Amino acid sequence: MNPVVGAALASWRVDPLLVAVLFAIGAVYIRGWRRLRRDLPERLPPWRAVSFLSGLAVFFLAVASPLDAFANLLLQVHMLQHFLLMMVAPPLLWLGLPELPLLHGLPEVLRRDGLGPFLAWPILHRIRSFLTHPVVCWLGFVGVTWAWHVPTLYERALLDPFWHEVEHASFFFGALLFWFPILQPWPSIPHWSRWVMVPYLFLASLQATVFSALFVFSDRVVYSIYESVPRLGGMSALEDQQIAGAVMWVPGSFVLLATTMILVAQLLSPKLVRPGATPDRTPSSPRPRSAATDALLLPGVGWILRARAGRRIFQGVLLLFAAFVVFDGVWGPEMSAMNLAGVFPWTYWRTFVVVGLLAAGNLFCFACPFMLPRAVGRRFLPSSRAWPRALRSKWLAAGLFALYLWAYEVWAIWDGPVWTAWVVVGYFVAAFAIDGIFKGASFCKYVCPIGQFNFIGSLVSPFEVRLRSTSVCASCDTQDCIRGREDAPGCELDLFLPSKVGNLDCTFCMDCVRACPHENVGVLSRIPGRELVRDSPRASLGRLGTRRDLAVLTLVVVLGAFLNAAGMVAPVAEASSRLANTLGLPSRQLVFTVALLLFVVAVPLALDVGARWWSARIACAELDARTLFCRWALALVPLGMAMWAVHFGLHLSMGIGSAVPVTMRALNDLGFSVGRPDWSLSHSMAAAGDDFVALQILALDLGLLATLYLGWRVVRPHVSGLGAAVRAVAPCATFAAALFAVGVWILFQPMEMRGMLMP
Amino acid sequence: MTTRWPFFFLLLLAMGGTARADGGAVVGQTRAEGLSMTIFAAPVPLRAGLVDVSVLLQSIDDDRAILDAAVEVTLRAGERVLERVQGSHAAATNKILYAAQVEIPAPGVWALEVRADSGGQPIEARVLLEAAPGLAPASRFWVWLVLPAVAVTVFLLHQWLGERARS
Repeated sequence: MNPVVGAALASWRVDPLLVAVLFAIGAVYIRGWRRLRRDLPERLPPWRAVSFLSGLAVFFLAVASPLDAFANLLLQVHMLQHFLLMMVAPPLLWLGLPELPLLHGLPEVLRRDGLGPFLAWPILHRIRSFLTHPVVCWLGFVGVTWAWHVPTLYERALLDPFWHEVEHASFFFGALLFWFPILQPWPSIPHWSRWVMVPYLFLASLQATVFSALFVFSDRVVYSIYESVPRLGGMSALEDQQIAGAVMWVPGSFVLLATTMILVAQLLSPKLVRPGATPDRTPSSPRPRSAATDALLLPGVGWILRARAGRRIFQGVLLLFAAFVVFDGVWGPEMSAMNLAGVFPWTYWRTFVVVGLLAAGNLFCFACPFMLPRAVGRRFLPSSRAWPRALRSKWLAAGLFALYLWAYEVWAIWDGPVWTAWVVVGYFVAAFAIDGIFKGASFCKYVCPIGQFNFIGSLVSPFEVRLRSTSVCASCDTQDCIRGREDAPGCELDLFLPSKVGNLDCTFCMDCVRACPHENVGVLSRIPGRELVRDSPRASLGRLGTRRDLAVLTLVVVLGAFLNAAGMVAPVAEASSRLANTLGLPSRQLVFTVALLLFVVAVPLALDVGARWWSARIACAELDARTLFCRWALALVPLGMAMWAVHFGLHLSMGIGSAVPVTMRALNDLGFSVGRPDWSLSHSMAAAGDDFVALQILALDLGLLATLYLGWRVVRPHVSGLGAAVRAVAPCATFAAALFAVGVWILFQPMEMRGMLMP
Repeated sequence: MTTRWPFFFLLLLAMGGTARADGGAVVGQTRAEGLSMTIFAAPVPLRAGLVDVSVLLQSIDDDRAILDAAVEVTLRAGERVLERVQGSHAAATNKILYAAQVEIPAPGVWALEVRADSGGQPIEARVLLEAAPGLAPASRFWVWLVLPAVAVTVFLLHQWLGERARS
């Protein structure tokens, strides 16, 4: 193939967002089409689905293929692109009768509760009626076609991506409207007699002919921008314009003429089903919601989760890895970016923990390497004492997590491989000692800051360990899931499955899965955060609305996300140094210590006081101060986890390749000659673009919206009237919005890429 | 019958919003040694910040695109080199172009030099770029920033409609 042609054909721009949107639409359509087809096989034959998917494919071709890349060099290519967007994709989509398949492809709860009120809104009915009126459709189509081809607007769109998007969007929507009354997709009802569509098409064809003729017969170049760009293929700008006119004229007229002929044939044939006719049968009532996905039943994954050996393998691998990190941390180079202890925990591990929480569940606790020394400790130590009653809460864990945040910043443990190594060693010693002395999983439940972080994060995980069927437990009198059996221990964290709600305190150890003789415990999918919508009593934890310790732990984790990220932006570092100078302090670390105290002590206290005041104003018995404080604190979890994900995601994307040189360096030091490390791999510019920042803001958007929804659900059942409910949730919403603003501000600041080798 | 079309409309809106296209304007052209070189820059108008520079090399005889050249893009402040980047097809959407990104640090006039060498045929161009002040981040990402407000508005409308239906 000619290399230039090859290069031209390779000029695709595959936007992940576009692909995701098209894929989602196609998947929802097919799901709904398959459901409806069972009741309406004659209405939805396979060719309808093929047509709809072809419409999506043509749309993709128009906006992502080389047609788009060459649109600013050749007018004819740009007109071909518009032809696909206006004359091919829209009719194919309407021929797929997309309305009902798309609706029935959605989860019922979303269709009924989410969209239901909108679908029944009379104002939207009137807008629909107006927009689909043939006169409006025709004028809309012709209007956007002519308006965007005015040279000023056309050239503006060609030079500015934003306006180009607006142009394409208006062409596409204008064309969707234009084709709607022609194809009248079931179950819509035509405004006028279908015969009106014959002059409708004829007039459209007439204006298209006039429009195309202006390009074909003009003796001057209409868009001067094509005179300034280099010519391709030895073709002048005027010749290009004439071909562009022909592209619009010939295929455009053919499509409109063919449509007119088919339409007339349909109208004259009584045997054909006319669009808009009443269906013979109505769709059956919605099918019951499909059962949740059970990860234990997935091939491969299920075995790993279920089998004790599966967990031990992961724990063993992580233990070996931790040993390697500790060894390199103590004896390797001091520069953190060149040391395993400086790279793996801070660039990779913590990001994977957060991604694991948001994508699946508490995977780190499942594979926790500290479990192995703990098991050894139990062999040699009595492990018979009960954990002190005074410490059976999350206060100690909240304090330890705050201590970690303080040490991270003040001692810069991220920049000290030795520090990191000793933290890991300290963890092993603590797990060995605490669980060697005390019975149950005291270390996991009351001490481990990583575990507490995971418990809080797993509140918004999409999977949880729960019963497959509650009726099975009703007839069970052995309660092995909590008591255990000879060969399978029960839950060490006192989570009795029939009254277990959600992921809090669950380490994904799968002991209950193995202990249940009825195989009634699964790892089931759910809507993330759903467990926070209602405050049901929970095994071992009670009602979350009564747990101030848990609320404060949550606030430390959430506020810590923002504090930790703020610590790495240049303006914060400069401001804290200035403040330290002004106050005559020896270093800015003291400033940070005060800031941390403010965040983890003063802010929760202020929120608690605020909750008391607000509760008195609301004057609702169910919304006492403690409930408001505790449940609103938990509602902040999605926003906090979004901030952790954004922060760690930035580190990972900037240092994605750093594992390669640092591992090579470590292996070389151990005597394995694996070649010279390429340290340029340690930094990537993947995170430098606007797309990455947009993705980060989107993550915060989603976190904020989930937080607002959860905050709303705290008050809504107890407050009557929409206005009163909005006022009642205002403090929570304001605080969340303020945190969101802080998060966005942090994203816009120049970052200090700590612990990384920068060019 | 309830009307279901708004949902479909929203999906199509999402599709339409992703119908993007490249911009970029010609900022310089030169001819030498049987080659012509055209330099494009985006955004239009140019602003301080990251700037996309694209280069099209063609044979003067038949307008054929030259794909095997070594292209170097240099941004200068006066005579001082601020940034020097290799242009590549990989960085370009349109693979007959060579593309590179340079960072214009501040508003003002900056010199952009492009040098290409195709099989011993060098061609060079120097153009002055006038950069306006960069857009504030809030302007660049406004779509993502207003998204929560839009979602909250839709949610409240949803709640209002539900309440009205119940009453």
